[in-house]
This record gives sequence, structure tokens and C-alpha cells, in this order.
Amino acid sequence: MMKRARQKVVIENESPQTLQKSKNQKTCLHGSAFGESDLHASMDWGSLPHHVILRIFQFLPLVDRARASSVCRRWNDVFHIPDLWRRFEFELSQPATSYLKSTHPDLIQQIIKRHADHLQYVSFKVDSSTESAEAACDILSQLVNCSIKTLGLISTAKPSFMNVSKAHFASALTVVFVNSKSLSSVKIDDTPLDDPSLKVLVANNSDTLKLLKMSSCPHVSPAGILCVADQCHGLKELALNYYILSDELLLALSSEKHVDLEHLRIDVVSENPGQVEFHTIKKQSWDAFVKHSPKVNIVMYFFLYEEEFDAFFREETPVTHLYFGRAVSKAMLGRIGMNCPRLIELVVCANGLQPLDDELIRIAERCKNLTAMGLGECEVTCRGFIEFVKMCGGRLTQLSIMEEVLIPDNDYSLDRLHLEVSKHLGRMWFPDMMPTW
Amino acid sequence: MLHRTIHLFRKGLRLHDNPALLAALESSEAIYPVYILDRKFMTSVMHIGALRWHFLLQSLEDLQKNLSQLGSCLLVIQGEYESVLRDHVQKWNITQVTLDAEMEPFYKEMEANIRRLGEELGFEVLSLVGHSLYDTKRILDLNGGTPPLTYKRFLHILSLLGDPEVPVRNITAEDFQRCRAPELCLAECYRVPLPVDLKIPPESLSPWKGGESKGLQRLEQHLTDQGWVASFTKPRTIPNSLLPSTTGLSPYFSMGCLSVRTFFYRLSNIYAQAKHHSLPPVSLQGQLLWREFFYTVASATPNFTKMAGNPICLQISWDEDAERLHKWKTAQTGFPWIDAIMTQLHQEGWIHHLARHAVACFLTRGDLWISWEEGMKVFEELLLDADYSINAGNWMWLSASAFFHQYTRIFCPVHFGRRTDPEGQYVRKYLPVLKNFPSKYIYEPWMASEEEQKQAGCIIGRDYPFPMVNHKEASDHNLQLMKQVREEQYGTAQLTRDDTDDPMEMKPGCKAAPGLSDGCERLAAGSWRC
Repeated sequence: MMKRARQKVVIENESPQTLQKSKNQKTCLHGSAFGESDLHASMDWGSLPHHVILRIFQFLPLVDRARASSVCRRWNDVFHIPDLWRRFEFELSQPATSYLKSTHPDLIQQIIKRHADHLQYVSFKVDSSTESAEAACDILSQLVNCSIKTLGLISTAKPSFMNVSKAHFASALTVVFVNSKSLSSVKIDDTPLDDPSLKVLVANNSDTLKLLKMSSCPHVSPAGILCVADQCHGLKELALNYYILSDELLLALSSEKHVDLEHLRIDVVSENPGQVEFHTIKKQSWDAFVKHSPKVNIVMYFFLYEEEFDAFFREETPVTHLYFGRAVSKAMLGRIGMNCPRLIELVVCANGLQPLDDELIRIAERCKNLTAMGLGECEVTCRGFIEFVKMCGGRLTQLSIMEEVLIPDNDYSLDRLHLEVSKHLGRMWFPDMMPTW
Repeated sequence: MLHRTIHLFRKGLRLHDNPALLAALESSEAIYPVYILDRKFMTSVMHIGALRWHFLLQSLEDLQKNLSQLGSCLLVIQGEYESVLRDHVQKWNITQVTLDAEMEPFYKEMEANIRRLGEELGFEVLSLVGHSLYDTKRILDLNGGTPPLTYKRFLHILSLLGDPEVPVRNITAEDFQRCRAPELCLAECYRVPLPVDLKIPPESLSPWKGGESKGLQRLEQHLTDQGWVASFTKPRTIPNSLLPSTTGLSPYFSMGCLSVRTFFYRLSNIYAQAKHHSLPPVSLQGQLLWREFFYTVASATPNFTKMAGNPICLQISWDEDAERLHKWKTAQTGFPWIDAIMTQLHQEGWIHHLARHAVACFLTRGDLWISWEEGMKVFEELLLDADYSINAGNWMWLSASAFFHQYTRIFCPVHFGRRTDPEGQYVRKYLPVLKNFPSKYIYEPWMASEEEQKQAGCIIGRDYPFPMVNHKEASDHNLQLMKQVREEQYGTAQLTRDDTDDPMEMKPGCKAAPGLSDGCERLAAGSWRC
């Protein structure tokens, strides 16, 4: 470790420029006397009080902090104060194939050796290689004496955790789940999470768990998530895939002991077109759910093929945010108008070549809470679109439509359209335009 | 005192609406219409491929023909422009040089050098704007001295500015009678070179032929053709728009064979009369406005055609991969949609703007993560309408380096093509090796079984390459990189961005339901894939 000679700094009348970062600095350094050289001769950067250095370090990114820690022993001590190690994001990638930064292995070792106990908010960002995911699991397995509150496993590209053996993954998670006992937020989308691991999570953290995001975890069953709902009464945010959503789950989340849920996100995904029959959720279950948590945001992401929407929105459904990532059928959009009175936001990536005028107008009529809409590869006549905007008026705070979507008709050209829409929205508005050249 | 004038054609290769030429005629007793073919200069500032040389030569031929019909002629003098001017200013006793004012830095420098020469040799220099709809300075002034950096803001400024400059009157034979034309022997001496003189292939296979006459013909056809409104505004649903356009005008604008002001006013007249029309920006007038937008920004942005030192451009560590770039450039990506487009580009020098979006996205932020500057150079070489500012501006747009911020919208090289042209006619035409594949596989032939490939007479991996990337993986990965870049360079990204109306673009720090803003990014994974 490099040790630089202590520097004697003579402090003039002006406040030191380099210590702008913390106002506390001035009072600590100057005390009550200015410009008295004998008082200041004994003060140097190395003898700043710990809490002052700590405060400064908290502003610095890790790389700079690490450099600073090599300056002198005192600064090095501060570098290792537990407060600076509460939050850490391990970035794991294989340099040969990724541009994403990677946490230095020495640093990882140091953290495991000296700071595992201090970690409270931990995340792992991995690239698409299995090695990175395995490295993440190895680290997790060593966090034995920790009391982690927040855990996040983030796959930046491919879901590389899915390539880790189930056993390895489960045992790594178990270490954290069992030892932390105070997990409040767990984000483990796109992992081989399974029911037994969920049981362990619940057994040890049911009092503290508030957020659980587990979209695209194909080994979890409806029973597995039900266990969470039954035991974790403080759960406020949940993200999962549609196939494990059940009437029982909604009812469990609505039990008296359960707090209000704030955010429920449901991903509806199909990999094999036409091969999955989606089950339906009973209206009573939704009703009970919303009755219990009247302010809940229900966010649904659909990645289905056109012919797969039949099961959805045949009855009133309290969804608030809808995203259609692939195509969506005209009939489905019609049903949304009929049955989604709580709808706040709607984004349609792609529809087809039939104009959606009627469907949009019905949505404007019946979805009185709609404030945001985005339309991608669809077709809407100018007249229909203006009608829609007129009916929504100023409550549409966000409106995005690709210019190519709009079909000019007898009543409106694109030029007139943008003026009309601007008028109804009460602000200058243009569709999204791409350059033509 | 009447001048003896050299009128220097640079762009502006036309007689209609040519303010500088008209000014020359009205102030001179003798006029020498000159085009200096300074090959060294031209190739040092832009890449020029064979097709564009042909287009240029054809345009010069046409200019020569039109001038001789009015009793004059065009003199094409080869050599370095400064020495050419020195020689001929003395030989012909020149007192004035007129030229179009152009805004590219290399043309500005040329003009400055010519002015210096004028001071030295004693001739005046007159330059007038003729290549853009408006005098760019007026736009800058109205926007407080800086260029409007979003198209929407630009349109707003234009609405305050009113109509563009009106085209100047036509030049007549009388103008040339008053103003003596060059001696006949000169015309012989300085005729338009042939392709072989410039060592380029003798024939251009492109259906686009250069020149003012051809340009005006197309203009007429464009304006009298009843179907143009529908076909231009819905290109997506009509695959024919991908085929070489018989009414397209962009190369004629970029060389100045056609005046944008003339076109603008012809269109305005039609709009005033017709009931059914579509107005900017998808329409034809819109094409002109986009052009104007990029000119305006380029005129006041340093290093506009580069990433480094360009204040409005995101600084991205693009990959340097010569091999992958080569595959893209030479239509060997293994994605028929992309390869067909690049093939058309090579063969004809023009591709539809949606096609440009597709290949540009593929090269940069979509799949290969290669710098937009590389793509820009390739377009510069191959496109007939390659234009310094427009090319750079569009590449920055399409790579989401500036102006365009919905980076989560990535064009899928399979689906985009399929939606535009479900039966794959376009692919079959430009990649005949694939023409026997059924429509089901024409955009992803690697999905066909070995038997089906044999039937189609094309084995993937042997007769046509495998796809060079896994699109989903590559684009997922690139999306994350782009996300990082934009977080780190938030300030730069905001420069060229309107207040967003898009619910998918949540500004950091804005109030969102818990988990909703990251949901918007999540939407990108699998969504907005055109």
C-alpha cells in the first residue's frame, strides 16, 4: 500500500477550494482563529476527524475512494468504516466478451473478508456469460454473517442465471435468505428460483419482506407464490408471471392481516404461439383484491401473439397500466374499452392494418382515468384520433403516436391534425416524426 | 461598369432559380459559366462512388446542353481550383466571380480562399444563397442565435418566419445576348469529361440519370400524378415504394439540379387548390423541411459530421470491427432484408428512407454496435443524394446519438421487412439467390429445414451466409449499453430532445408509480421491435 508523506497545508484566509464538498469542513478546520500559522501548522489532511473524511468519502465514487484510501493510514481506516459498505453493486462480466465494467476480483475478496457483515443493500449485475452468474452465486454463498435488506440479481443481457445449476443457485440463495432474516426487497427476475427457495425466504423473512420481483422464474409454481402471500403480510410490491397468478393468490393478498398492496406487476408471456391456454381469474377475486387495496397499481405486460388474447378482459378487470409488447388484436382492444375502467396508461406496440378508431373512442369514453397513451405500429384515421383526443382532453398528459400510424382522411390532413390535437390537449403537440430523405 | 464574370458552379447545377447566375448575368457584359472539376479537392472532402460521378457528369452534360440552347456553353476545367482561377482570371480579364453560397465547412473555406484571391488579383466575389429554402441566418436569429435542436422546435420557428424565399426569375436567351458568351473554341477545349477520362466504369447501371432536365421532368410527373399523396404517406403498406422511385427527387436536390424553392412553391400552389392533401412532415414538403433542419443545425454546430468534439452527439465507445463492417457494407449479413437493401444501394444509388432506417439501426445501436460515422462514409460513397449535413444528421438520428431518443425502438431485421413487404418481392428482386424460398422463410431462410433449402436451391452457410448475429441477444445487449450511455450523458441527450409526450420515456426523477419507470425499460425487452 502506497503511503504518501503527510503534507503540511497552510490555510489562508480564503476557504480551501478543494473542500467545497462539505460545508462542515470550514468550521472544523478554521475553528475560531484565521491565519494563525502556529495553530494551522499542526493540521494536515491526514488528521481530519474521521467523520469528516467519511462524509467526503460518501460523495466519492468507489474508484476515487479506493485511491484515497492509499494516501495514509487514517484515510485507509475510514475507507473501511462499515457505513461505506452498506450498499454495493457487484458488476460481473467477462472482459473478453463484454464492455460492461467489472468489479475487480481483489476488491471482491476484500469485501467478502472485511465487509460481508456490513452489507445491507446488495445487487449483482451480470453479463450474458454463465461464468459471471456463477461468480455471483459464489459471492452470495459467502455472505454468511450478513443482514441484507435489499437483494437484486440483474441480468443485463441474456438471463445467464438460468444456466447456473439449480442446486448451486438454490444453495447460494439459501445462505442469504437464512442468514439475513431482515430481507425487505428481493429482485430475482430471470432466475432458476424454485418453490423450496421461496419457502426458505418466507420462513426467515416473512415479517420484513415488502417487495418481491420474480418475473420469468419458470420453476416457481402457483403454490410457491401462494406461500409467500400467505405468510408475508407486509408485502407491498409483487412482480410475477401470469401463469402463477391464481384466484387463491389474490384472495391471500386481500386477507385482513395483509397490508395494502401498492404495486402488482404481471407479465403475460408466450413462447410458443397457440400452444398455451391461459387460465382466467374470476371477477370476484379481482374485486376482493381491489377492495382490499383500492390504490393498487396493476401493471400488465403482454408479449403474446394475436390469437392468444381470448382469455383476457372478458369481464371487468381492474388493471391500471397496460403494455402490449408484440401485437394485440383489435377485438382485445375493444374489450379493454369495455372492461378496464381503472386504466391509467396504455401502450400498444403493434396492432395491424385495420384502423383502431372505434376501439380508441370507446376507451376514451369508458376509461376516464386514462392519462397516458402510446401507439406504435397501428393504424388510426386522423378523424378518429382527433375524436379520441377531444374526448380525453387535457387529462392526457402523455400522448405518443408515430406519424406513420395516422391515416389522413377527408376531414383532416396531418397538418391540421397536429393543430387540432394541440388545441384539445392545451399544449403544443406533434406526432413522433422520423426524417425522410 | 459591367463585369467580365466567371460564374462558378459548385452545386446549383441548374438554370432555373439560380440567384447567383442571374446576378452575374445582370451585372456583366461577358460571362464564363465554369465548373472546376477539382478531383483532388472533391475526393478529399467526401467519398464519391462511381454512381455519383456518373450522376455528376450527366448533370454537367445537361447543363452544357441547356446553356448552349440559350446561346452560351458550360466550361468544365479540370485542375486545382486555385490555380485554375489564377490562370483564367488573367486570361479572360475577369473582374467578378459569382458562386452559390454553400454552408459546408470545406465550401466556406473555398469561398474564403477565392475572396483572398480576389483581393490579390483584383476581382470581386459575389455569393448568394440558393441551395436552401431559407437564409439560415434568419432561422438562427429567430432562435436567439443558436440553431433549434429539435425538429418540433424548428417547425415552430419556421411558422414564425413565414414562407421561404421566392425563386428568382428564369434566365432567357436575351440575358445571354446582352451578356457575351464564351468563344466557341473554349467549349471544345473544356467539354464535359467522359467517364473513361475519370477512370470510372463507362456505364452507370442506375436508373437515376442526372441533370436539371431530368429533374424537372420528374418534378412534373410528381405533381401531376394523382396517386402521389397516398403512396408517399403510407410507404409501409406499399412495397413498390421500395423500388427505384420514378418520381423521387432527392438526388436532384442534393446536387442542386432542382431548386428546393421552386418545388416548395409549386407544392404550395397545389395545396392551395387541392382538397385532399397531406402536409409536412410525412409529405413531400416535409422532406424539404427535414433537409432544412439538418442544414440549419449543421451550419452552427462544430464537428457536426463527427462524434468527437460534437457537442450535440452522445460520445459512445462503438466497436471497431472491420470484418463486421465489411459484411454490412457488402450485403453479407445473412439477413435478407438488410442485404437486399445494401444491394440496391450499391446497384442503384438510392434506397427508400425506411430502408435507410433499417440498415442504419442494424449497423449501429441495433445489432453491430459500429459507429455511425462508418455508416455515413459508406452512404456518402454510394448514395446519389449523399449530402454532407443531411447524411450526418440522419446517421446521428438513426443511431440515437442525437435528435432521436426512443432508443428502445429497435428495428428487427426480420420483422420490419416482413411487415413492409410480406411476400418478399423486394428481397427476391435484389437477392435472386433467395428467390425460391417461400414467403414464410424469405426473411429468415436459416429457419428452413435442410430439405426446404435444397428445394429452394440455396443452402444457408454455403450459397448465402448464416445470420451474422443473434438479433435478440445483440439488441438486448446494445439496449443496455445505450441505457448506460444515456444515463451518463443525460445532459447531452437533453439538448436535442423535446419535452417528451411519450409515456415510455420517463424522465429520471419524475414521479412514477413504484416500479413503473423500470417497467418502461423492461418494455424494451421484446417490445417496440419493429
